Amino acid sequence: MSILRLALRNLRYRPWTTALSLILAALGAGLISLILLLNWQLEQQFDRNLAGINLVVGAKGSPLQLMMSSMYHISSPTGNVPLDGVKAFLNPQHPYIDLGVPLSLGDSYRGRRIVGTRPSFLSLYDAALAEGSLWTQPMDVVAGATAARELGLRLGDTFRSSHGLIEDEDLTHRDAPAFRVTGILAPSGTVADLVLLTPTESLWAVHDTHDHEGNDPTDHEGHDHGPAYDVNRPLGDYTDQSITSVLIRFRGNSVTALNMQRSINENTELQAVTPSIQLAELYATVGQGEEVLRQLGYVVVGVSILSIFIGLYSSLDRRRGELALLRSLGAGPGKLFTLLLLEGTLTAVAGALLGLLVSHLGLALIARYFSEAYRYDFRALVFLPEEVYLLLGALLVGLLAAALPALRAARTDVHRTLTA
Amino acid sequence: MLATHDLAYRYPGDGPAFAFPDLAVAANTPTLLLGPSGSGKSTWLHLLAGILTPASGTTVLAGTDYAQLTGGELDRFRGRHIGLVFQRAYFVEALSVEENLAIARRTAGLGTDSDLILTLLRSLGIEKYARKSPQRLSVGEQQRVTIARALVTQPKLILADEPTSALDNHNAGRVSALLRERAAALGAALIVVTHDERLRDDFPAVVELHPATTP
Repeated sequence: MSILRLALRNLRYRPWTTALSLILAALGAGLISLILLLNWQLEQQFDRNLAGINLVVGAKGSPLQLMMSSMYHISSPTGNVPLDGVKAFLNPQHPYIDLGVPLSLGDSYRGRRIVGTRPSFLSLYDAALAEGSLWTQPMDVVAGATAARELGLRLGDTFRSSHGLIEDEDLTHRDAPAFRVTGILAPSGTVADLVLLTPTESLWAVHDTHDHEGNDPTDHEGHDHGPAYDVNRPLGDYTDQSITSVLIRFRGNSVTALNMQRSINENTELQAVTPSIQLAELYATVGQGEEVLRQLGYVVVGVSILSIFIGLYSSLDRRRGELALLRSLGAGPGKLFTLLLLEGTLTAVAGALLGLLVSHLGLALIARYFSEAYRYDFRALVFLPEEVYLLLGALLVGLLAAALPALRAARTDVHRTLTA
Repeated sequence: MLATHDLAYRYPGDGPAFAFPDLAVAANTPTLLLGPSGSGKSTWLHLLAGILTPASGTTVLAGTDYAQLTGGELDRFRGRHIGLVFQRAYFVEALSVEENLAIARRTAGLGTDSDLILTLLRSLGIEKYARKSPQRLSVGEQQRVTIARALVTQPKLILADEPTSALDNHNAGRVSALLRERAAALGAALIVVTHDERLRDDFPAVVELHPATTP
């Protein structure tokens, strides 16, 4: 029967007081930890997919929407832009542009987004083929690692896309040629994992068939081999076609980026967005809500300190005889001090551990929602170094709350208590 | 063997002062300290127990003058060598009877000895309460648990404060006999402090205290 076990038994002996203190400590720690985790996950996801992109150029509209749809494949695209207007950004000879990646968005297969692009997409995200080969003709598809795994796609599989970004049978392009998987990417930890890549021309080929929708489907057998587009031609040659946006990585410093962004926004029908600035704005907006929650977390921690303190302090009156007894049995003031201190810190630390558990469970739920709604992978089993600080903080909270009651317990006057 | 000499205590401030007669209590002579309330009985008991530190005088048990010890040293000495039976039955509420005995050994710096604890409970006829909470026992049973706790560290001196005042004649006689019997079995010196005249004839040595305070 050590002091530690006695402390545990004492806590169990007052289950309601202990439970209240535990819950409050768990609530405070859980709230703070959840905020930390969400914040970390969000910034991880966003930053990992920045991929050195300096500028996103697309149709006018919400800058946040343009960035989200083109870089993170969340929310709908802002619209299309004529290739004629953006072909300069795709020119490999461009003096300021290191990499220009065209994107055609808007179609999907069972909830996974189909991205019409050029092989430069792979260089942008440092993605490499795990099996198969890159496309050689329209309707060839290279699937991202996660997308392939979750859709169960193998090399040679074929599928038909649907219009729009949600899974809807009615929107399937039934008359359009089928896509065929020619390659699967190795996981890169970026959005490249999540999408189905195809040459830009495939989307045109799919939508070409729309124009003949009233016709007998048998007429379209010829399309299954893909229309007569050459996927190796520079996109700039198709002056009468449109794409959704261009992701641009600059050569050299970002002063060029700021200048080019302003000049595009002021002088053309296009919109140019600097992702780092958009992200900073987004974080600032999210940060305000986060700050409020964090403050709330601190308030709850404060209340939990109070609850532990009051729980211990009020127990002292009832336990005075017991504490005097322990002294008379040979337990020195130090032992009684330790006993009360242990009761306080055990409550706080156990509460904090409970809070961490709950926040990770909560994150797992949020992660499930996110992966269903946005096809993003959140990891719930990540433990941040900050969480260790949180536990150390809980230890401190416990010590703080228990210090005064412990001091009073240590000062128990055996003689006066036992003769009273 | 306990021996005290010139033991005196003065309460802080303008409190009463007490001077106590010298005592020499051997293992085979259980001693009764008899006196009405206000005669300084509790003060004397707490001086003998090492709960209070005397203003002057010596209290020697097994060659150690524990009147000279302070703080943790005194706590350890008391825990190890003196078994206390209080007027009110105090327990660690969260623990069972058995565990209350175990914690007494622990605070005395002794290892938990479950065999000893069970043997002791059996010899006092309360082994069936070993796993019960002491609060659920009757007053008489509780008193026996506190006696068991005083014995569990195998002390050299057993001090009992009004152990029978709450009991009827029958039970008072049993507790008195139990204390003397157990102390003799352990070879421990026994001192009972009481105002209970019923015990007078049970003890070979009786020291009477009178409500005489010296300023």
